[in-house]
Amino acid sequence: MVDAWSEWGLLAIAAKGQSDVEYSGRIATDSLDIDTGDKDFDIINLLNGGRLEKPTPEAETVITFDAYFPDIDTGGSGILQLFHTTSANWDSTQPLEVTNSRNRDQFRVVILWTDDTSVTSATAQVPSGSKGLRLIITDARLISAKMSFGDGILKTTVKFKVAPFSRTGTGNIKWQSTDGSAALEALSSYS
Amino acid sequence: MKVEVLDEYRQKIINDGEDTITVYDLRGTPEEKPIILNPGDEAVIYIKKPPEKKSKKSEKSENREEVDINISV
Repeated sequence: MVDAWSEWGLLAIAAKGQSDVEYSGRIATDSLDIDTGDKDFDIINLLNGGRLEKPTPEAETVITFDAYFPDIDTGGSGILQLFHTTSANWDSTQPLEVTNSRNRDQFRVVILWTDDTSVTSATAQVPSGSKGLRLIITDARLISAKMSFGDGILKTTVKFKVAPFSRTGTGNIKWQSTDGSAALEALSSYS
Repeated sequence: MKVEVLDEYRQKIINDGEDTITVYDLRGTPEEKPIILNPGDEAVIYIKKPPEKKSKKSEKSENREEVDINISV
């Protein structure tokens, strides 16, 4: 096993029904934050001096990163079309344009750390012999895309938020890892 | 990313951007296969499976009359 994951990683985003697009070439390494939802509990004090645990349902997970986007394209160099509208309304003809709407898309966000530098997408296979750690969150919402020019460079702070379970109880957060003894298979499409 | 529709079954995908994208051949089917397109790459993907063409050989064999052969040793 590796001692720790450091220096680089991959991050791909797919709107539901669309291609997975690699965004790692736009994201500041030290800005990536995965705020895993707590599985907390309260305590009820019992008359005999004992304690009863009252579980709090798992909270939402939030992924935050700072990114530097030059435009509003949907092929990795922009995020605002993903934020303001759904993929059915994406503009791909120059000049690009998006108007804010009440439409909200669902997204899959995949983050991969691997020691195989030939891997170019977070959703790709990590072949046997290489090590890897992958997070897959599905049905996430893009809840925030705040922009700042305060440091003299246009920066967008992006937040994806995911409920830990779907309405029917399916888990939306998956972790995978391999120590190199088996391949980490490529992900199937997000539909 | 540019998409050129070749026919009802195939699309040509051109990654004209600067970031890697992953598209899927026969997306949503059991034969789905991811295709990674690095910047500048292009690929032809099937969006649905074309009907299988019958080969001339199989047509011939279908038209051939069945003959019972009894071999005694």
